Amino acid sequence: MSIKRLRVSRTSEDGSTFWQEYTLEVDERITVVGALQRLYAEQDDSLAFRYACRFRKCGLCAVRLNGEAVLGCRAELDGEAATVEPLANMPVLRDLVNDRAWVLERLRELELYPTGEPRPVREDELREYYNTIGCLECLACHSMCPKIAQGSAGPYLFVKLAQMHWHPWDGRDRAAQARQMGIDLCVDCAACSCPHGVNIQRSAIGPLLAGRPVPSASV
Amino acid sequence: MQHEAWERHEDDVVVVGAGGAGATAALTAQRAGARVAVISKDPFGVGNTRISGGGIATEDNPQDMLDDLARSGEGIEAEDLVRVMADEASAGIRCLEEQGYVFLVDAEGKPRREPRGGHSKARVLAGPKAGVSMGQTLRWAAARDDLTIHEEMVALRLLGSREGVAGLLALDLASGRYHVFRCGSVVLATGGAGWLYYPHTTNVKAATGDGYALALRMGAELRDMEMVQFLPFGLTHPSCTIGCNAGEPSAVAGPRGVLRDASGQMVLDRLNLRTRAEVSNVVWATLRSGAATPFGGILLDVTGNLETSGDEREVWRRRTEEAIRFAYGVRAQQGFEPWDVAPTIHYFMGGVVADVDGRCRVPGLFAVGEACGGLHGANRLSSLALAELWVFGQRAGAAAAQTRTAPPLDPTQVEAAVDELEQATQRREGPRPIQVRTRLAEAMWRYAAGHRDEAGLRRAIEVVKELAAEASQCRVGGGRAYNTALVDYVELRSLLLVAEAVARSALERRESRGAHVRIDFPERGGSEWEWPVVVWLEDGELRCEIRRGAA
Repeated sequence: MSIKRLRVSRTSEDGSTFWQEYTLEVDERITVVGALQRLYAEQDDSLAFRYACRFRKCGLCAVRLNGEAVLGCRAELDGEAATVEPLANMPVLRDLVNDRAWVLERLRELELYPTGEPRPVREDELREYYNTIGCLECLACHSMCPKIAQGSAGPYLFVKLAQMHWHPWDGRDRAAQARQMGIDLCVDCAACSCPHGVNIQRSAIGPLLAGRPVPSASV
Repeated sequence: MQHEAWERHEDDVVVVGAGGAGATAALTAQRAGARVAVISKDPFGVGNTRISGGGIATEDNPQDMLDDLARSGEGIEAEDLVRVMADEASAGIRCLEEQGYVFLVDAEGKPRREPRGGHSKARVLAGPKAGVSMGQTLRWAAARDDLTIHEEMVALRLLGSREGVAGLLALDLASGRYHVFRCGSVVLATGGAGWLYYPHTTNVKAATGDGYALALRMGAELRDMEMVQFLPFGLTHPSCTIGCNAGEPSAVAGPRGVLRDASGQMVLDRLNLRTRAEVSNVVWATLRSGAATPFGGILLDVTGNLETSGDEREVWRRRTEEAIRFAYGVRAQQGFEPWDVAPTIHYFMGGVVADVDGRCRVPGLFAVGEACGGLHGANRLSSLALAELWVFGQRAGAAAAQTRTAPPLDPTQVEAAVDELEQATQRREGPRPIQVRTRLAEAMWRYAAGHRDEAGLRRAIEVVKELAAEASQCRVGGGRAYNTALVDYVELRSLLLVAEAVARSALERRESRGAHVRIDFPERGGSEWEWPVVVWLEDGELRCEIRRGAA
């Protein structure tokens, strides 16, 4: 049996943040989501946090654990103490819940959907599409980006752009769109990573920076 | 804390739920010219569709699918729904593609067709990264068509009467404000109720059967609520992994996989050749017999496969889920150690009684997807849960768009519903919703899960009544903004009604058929049982009967 000490970021009614300390007796491995569920059920049902699937498929539970953006249902509490905060670089609704309303708005504004018609595809056209489509939209990469403050749209939106860049029936110049969204700030950076395994540099930012054309179906 | 005045909306169609069925219904209705709003407890496109395996059935020769569905439905499937599903499976695939979905293709660029257990031919298509790319596609389609979407909004009550839908009352989670929608059509696409058995479920947190409860309270009927599908192998420890699917018997057992009880004694061999039902039966029997492991599971021992060589070894494809490695370690994932497994609830075959266009007996009310019952009968064929979403989503959307003028809203109906919720926020003492939910789930797991009997089911109904009394005294603390305890309370009210529907229906079906197993009636009954069990509310009480002679 071990005691975990958790410092969790909370928000007051007036929107200001403060730290709340909890202790949890644990006799098995436990993830961040598992710990938050226990705190909620056993100690404090005013604690607000998001999750849905518990098993690394929905992307809703991303938070910062000890300063690092993680998937809450995968990151385990090692050690005696842990700090849990909402993601950075986006507004906080309450406690550990970030405001995600901007995500759908940006999808619309930036036309982040395939703009052409379905057509037959070849398997070799789709490899990079496969590499980007696994994005869970957890926003962990957005949280860890140091260039958003300087005007970059951030790696999450670049991954979404790359999905369209690689999508076999998208018709827009997504590399040009990426340049308008500040992707040049990514040169020499490479700070972002994906807790789910999308290789952001290789499959999204690199190709968009290079303006690599999508393979033609007629070849 | 006093609530603000509610926000008002006027629409033609309101869709509750934003998975494959809800999104498709909304997109179709809007394209048909209706004013549409979608309300969703989770962000758009996040739900059981998104976390699914992504396998979706198609069909070129409808009679083939019809035959397979009749076999798996075991006589209680709704023939009209089955016929439409078989006829329009390929139309559903085209709809999904048109939304922007890219399938996994073969060397010729055609969508790959995989064989699956229970299917007489290879007809299952899939996309990359399982259901995640489906969820993405729904979001693209919503953005492209500029759907009006209210994310993290919870439907509380349908408004109107048995004579017709007038609208919907909902709660915006972020602000705690009430929203009143006046509309002529409501489409329930709220999925199933896996969290009734929490944590023994693969489902997302939103799966609390809200649509079942909303429909019942409006005067609609549910059918086949006793038909709850369990996957035989879920993880059992650590606690935060309980319910996670560990893999299909046919995939992970290999040619030498066996089941052992806690003492190590073998209870079933040749797992890769057994049906899911055979495996489940032995698993449940072992759990009930007291031979379960300390984690409440049974041991899946695949170590025999390591002793094989040549062809047999090749056949054992170690397609283990990453979940096994996470929970039990690398040695277990590679087959050197047995896995502790227990069943996990995955899907509700039952649901709202509806026709081929999702129409319920209440004018203006529609149900589609897992929220709708009858297509799957007594057991669900794999990959049909996804296939039905686009087939019936399109039909329900088109039908809902044939708008009827909503009758005027009755403000006292709205006030009464709001007051009921507000009372819970004003109590200073009483049980918390999460505590009541936990006890409800424990009772359902114990008495109304795999192997059922009369005494257990009656006990389940007693417990539901006790907990319903407690629930009416629940205290919901916290402020207005993002109050998840308030959502817990709303969902608790849904779960209590669904629990009673499941238990009563299971009590009524005095035989074993498909996913429903009664150890006091272990045989399948005769043709007098080939009819649906139906539930409905009458004067506030849940009624249940087997509807012989139903269409």
